[in-house]
Amino acid sequence: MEKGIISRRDFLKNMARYGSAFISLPLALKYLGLLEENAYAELVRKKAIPGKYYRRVSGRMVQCQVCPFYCLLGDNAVGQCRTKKNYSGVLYTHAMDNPCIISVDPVEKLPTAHYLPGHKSLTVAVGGCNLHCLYCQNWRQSQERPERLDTIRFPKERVPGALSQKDIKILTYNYTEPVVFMEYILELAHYSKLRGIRHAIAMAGYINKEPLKDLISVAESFTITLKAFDDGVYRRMTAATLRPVLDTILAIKESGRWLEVVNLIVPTYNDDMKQVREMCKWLLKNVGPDVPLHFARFVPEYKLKNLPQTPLSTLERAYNIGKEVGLHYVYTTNVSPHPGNYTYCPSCGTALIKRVGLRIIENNLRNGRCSKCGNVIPGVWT
Amino acid sequence: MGFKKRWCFPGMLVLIMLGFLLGGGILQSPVLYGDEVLSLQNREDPAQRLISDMRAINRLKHRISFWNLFNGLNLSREQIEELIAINTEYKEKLQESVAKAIKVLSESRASLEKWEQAIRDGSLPEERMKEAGRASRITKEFRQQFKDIKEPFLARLNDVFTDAQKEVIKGFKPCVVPPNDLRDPIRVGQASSNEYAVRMLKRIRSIPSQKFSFALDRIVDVHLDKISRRYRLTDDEIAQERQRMRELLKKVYYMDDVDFEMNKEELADEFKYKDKLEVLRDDLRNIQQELYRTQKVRDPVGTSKIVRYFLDPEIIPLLQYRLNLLQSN
Repeated sequence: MEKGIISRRDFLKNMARYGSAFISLPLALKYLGLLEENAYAELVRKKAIPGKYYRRVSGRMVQCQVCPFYCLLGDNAVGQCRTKKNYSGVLYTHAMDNPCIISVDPVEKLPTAHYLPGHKSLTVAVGGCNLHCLYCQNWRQSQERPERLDTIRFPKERVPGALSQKDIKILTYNYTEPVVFMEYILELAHYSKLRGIRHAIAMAGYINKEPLKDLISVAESFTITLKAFDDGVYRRMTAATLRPVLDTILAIKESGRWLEVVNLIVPTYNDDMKQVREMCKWLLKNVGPDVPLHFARFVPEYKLKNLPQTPLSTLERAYNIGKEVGLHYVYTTNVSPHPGNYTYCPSCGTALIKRVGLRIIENNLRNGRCSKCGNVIPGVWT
Repeated sequence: MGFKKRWCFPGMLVLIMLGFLLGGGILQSPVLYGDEVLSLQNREDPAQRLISDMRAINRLKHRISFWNLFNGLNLSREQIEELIAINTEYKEKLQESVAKAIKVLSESRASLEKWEQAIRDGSLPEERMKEAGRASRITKEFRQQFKDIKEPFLARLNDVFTDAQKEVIKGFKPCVVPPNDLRDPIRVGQASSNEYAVRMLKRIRSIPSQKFSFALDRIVDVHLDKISRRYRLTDDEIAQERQRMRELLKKVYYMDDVDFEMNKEELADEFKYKDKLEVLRDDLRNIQQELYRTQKVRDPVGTSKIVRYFLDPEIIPLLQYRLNLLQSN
């Protein structure tokens, strides 16, 4: 063979040798921690802050401690809530200062019937959710990573100014799941509480005890969506389980914060009246008759567009069961006008707060008491 | 072969006769029968037809409005039954009065016809004049009498509905397509009429900054083109609107995200063009509402929307239909 010319076999051998070395070099460097992240990843990471609730398992593996899913995350892995990411053994949250929704709403939208009725609130929501409800009405925001949504920069310093613009005193967290952006909630709450701003949260309640304690310390009202009273249905409909939600309800009740419970009735999933009765009985026994219970009408959305709206008769049956069992404050939500939207005095039956949807048309409460018989109506009225 | 010669002539004759009767008859009958047939053909006057069609459409629209309102009220079975009972009773009362009215009104009509004949001929007979005046008064009184029949039902109708339902009826405007808050139960009490305008403003805010100045002119031009076609604006008005729109869009574009989100409803209101005529109409509407409030005290039956929609014998079969539907479910 001529000098300077290599055989085909040698050429292929050399290509394989040098090629594999070339490919494995960055991997080796990355393993040794010598290779920096690319510019985009770095930029994204810089916007995130280290999360509060996680533990390091081994090496770079971490476990999120926010909710009972306990996501086990390897390097660069994202939790199922889509807001937490493991960067080299530190769990970061991307849900900080970047809500995708800021909206001025009546506080009744949570829904709540006994918490400052008729007041306006500023609702803040960041993308992401730890649950995957088949009927989610805000799935475009809740089933997406916050950094991939159109967001609004809303740091804590902006809150008092924004609220005073519209003479609002309440910050509410709704639309998506507040549990997944609780670091942001805590920051907003600690900053704004000194300035007289009040906080109310609507959530699914799928959260661990430690983070829940922190939320309870800053918010004064909670609306928990109890999606069903059967673990199988819960798993099928939301990918979560029932027990932790019941524990959350108990913990909030124990803490003395204001609590309301919502049950969205989805035809063919949780419209079994036996289940509804069981749920009402459990609530009566464990949190008492004074915790308001809202039966909400399902509207076809997301993955359940094939189902019809909840029939009015089903809602009314559930409403009657709630009353029969002995709950004092049962409501029908997402259906209006309906007598189930009103607040009645459990003692004399007077309609105390009359509503059309979220609008109050008549309020007969006097200092938290029935104007007719003087019975004390539980709630946060001032 | 085939035909025998002797059948040819009568056969032809029969065929010609048949042809004349079937085809020629249509063509030649006006000629033969002259004006009488022409007047028969023109008996359905197009103007009359138009009027009757318009009337039918208006009645249909009223019925559609009724259904839209009905669907937005979530009436219970008991409420529907009570409405049927009230309307059946009202129908009976109405029929009694109608029988009386027909008799009296036919007399009045005769008097008025005689009076017309008299004044057509140029004479003003005293007796006929008095008779015509009386007849005219009687028709007015009858209108009032029919209103009086409705009066006792008003209180009963009011009792059928809950306060929340009354609130919905009060705010209801006749419509063929129901508004958002009647269509979507989630949006009751929170549906914004500015949704489209807010969406437009958001789109404008998402335009890249290097393209904005060009896009601004385009958007303003399109907007002016649209409104000037609709409202026939003068040159001065167009110039004013151009200036206003440019300033508004610049303000919206350079606005902080948080400020925009907090004020989007108000901005959307500003974004909508308000024509001078519409502003005047708004003023007029406010005056009308004031008038309505005053009228309501004096004439509760005539101004009540509940009476307008729910005291009508025609709705009895509609309610019954809905009640059956409810029972079958």
